[in-house]
Amino acid sequence: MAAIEATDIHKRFGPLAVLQGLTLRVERGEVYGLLGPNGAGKSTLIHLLLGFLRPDHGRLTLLDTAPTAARSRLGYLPERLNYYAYCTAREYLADMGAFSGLRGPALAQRCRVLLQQVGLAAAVDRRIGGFSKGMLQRLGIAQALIHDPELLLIDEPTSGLDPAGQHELIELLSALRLQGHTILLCSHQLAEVEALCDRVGILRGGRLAAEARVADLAIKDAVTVTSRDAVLPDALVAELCALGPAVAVDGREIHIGGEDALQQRVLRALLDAGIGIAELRPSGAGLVDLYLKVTHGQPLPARFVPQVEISANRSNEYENI
Amino acid sequence: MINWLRRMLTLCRFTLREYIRSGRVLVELVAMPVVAWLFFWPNGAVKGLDPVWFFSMAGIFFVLLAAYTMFALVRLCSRPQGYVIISRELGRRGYLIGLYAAAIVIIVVVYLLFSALIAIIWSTRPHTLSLVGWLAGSLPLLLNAGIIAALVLLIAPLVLPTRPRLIILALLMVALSRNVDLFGHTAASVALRPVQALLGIPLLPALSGFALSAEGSYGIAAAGVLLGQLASIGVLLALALLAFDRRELILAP
Repeated sequence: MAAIEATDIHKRFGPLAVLQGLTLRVERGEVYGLLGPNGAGKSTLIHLLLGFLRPDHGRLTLLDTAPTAARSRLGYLPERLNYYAYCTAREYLADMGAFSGLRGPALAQRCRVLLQQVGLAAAVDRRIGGFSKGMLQRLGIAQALIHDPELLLIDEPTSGLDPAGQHELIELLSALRLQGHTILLCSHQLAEVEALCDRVGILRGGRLAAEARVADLAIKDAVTVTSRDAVLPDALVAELCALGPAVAVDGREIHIGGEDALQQRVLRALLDAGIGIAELRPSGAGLVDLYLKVTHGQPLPARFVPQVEISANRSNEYENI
Repeated sequence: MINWLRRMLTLCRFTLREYIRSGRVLVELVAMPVVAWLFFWPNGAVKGLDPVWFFSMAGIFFVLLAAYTMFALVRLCSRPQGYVIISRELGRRGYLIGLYAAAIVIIVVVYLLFSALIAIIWSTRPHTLSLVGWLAGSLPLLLNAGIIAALVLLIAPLVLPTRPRLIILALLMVALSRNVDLFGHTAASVALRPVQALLGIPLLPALSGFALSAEGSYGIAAAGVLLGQLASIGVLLALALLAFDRRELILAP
């Protein structure tokens, strides 16, 4: 079941079309990284999901319901490090919990545990105005988790942090990933996305231009074989794909994972079928490579192009917050 | 409903704490003795304190104070900090009503302090303001402050986009210009008169409330005036909630 389902979302701000038919699906339990340059529409998408903005067109569901109905099951960590400066971390967190319907000893206990978990136990009674950026982001994670949400929407979490702060935050988010939270992480930090996400999507021109499993991008020693024949026989394609998920056929190109034995079996199958090999090269299909191809508008391997299915139902089912 | 009220009151407390600790409340606290000294200090001009004088001056002061306080609170809560709060179960409606409640708490507390200050100043001097008279005048005065706070909330940039805000302000100006001879005895003046009369109708509860507060004459019509004031608050808040529900939320730093 999908945690987030966005179908053919359009959003304009005056003459500026930010999203132009964005279709995206994030499964439950998945950590999905949404990449894109500044202004690509990442934050706009998060604000649409939170109900701050409304799509001009398209359909959005969160946790199988309208965004506003899912509010109690969402956690949100905003990009900007803006917090009320005059309350203490403990007061702030307790009030955020109260806004989500928590109260009493359970809320106090939850605040204690979370402040400990994010490493702010020694600063609980300090005013937020005196916090460093790293401390603010850690408090931000605590407030996003205070009501134990099913889905976390995280916008540029390491923006403005120094390398040590970035490292601390990535460790915190890794712990959340291990706990099984569904996370939509918007970022333009490729290393952050590579370290945290199961799948990644790249926005360009207001649409999802590429989508890939991070594991597929990070295979070491992977190779790509290019055949002399423009089209491989269907039976051969089926035989190759049956060798395992680390083999992907894309036209005349065959991508093979880093396992030596697997590469030998694919090459043997090709030679046995009488297919001439034009080229054998390292895949080089890392996240950086894919990102640069998307942002420079270069053609992508078919396996990274999202299979967009725009719903024929063009009704806007968005509801008021 | 109880849970919603609890969350709304938490926002009220949260906002008040931020408002007080940031020092913004100093404006109200300083304005209070300044107004007391300017208009209520016993001297040659003010020889005795009577209800009409007290509620006339206090009525004007607290209408202005309500407008300022509501405006300052809306500004405090129109920044991106609000996103994290509105994204929670509290929602937009709880956020807006919580802000309004915080303004009302400030206005009522400042009014009580102001009244206590005036009572101390006039404790050893002759006056005709009794406790019952004070209570009778305070209710419509505070309701008027509530009307102004609700109006400021409605026309705040957080709630209403620029165009409808300007339209409301223009209509308000036309209604309030009823007693100002803008065009002399011209056709324009004659044409404008019924429009001014029509637009002045929503202002009647506030104007009648001001008169009721100053005169303290609680006849049969007084209940109608108080109900009219309450209805004005209700209508203005309902319009503010409707507008805030529908608008796209873009909070700028």
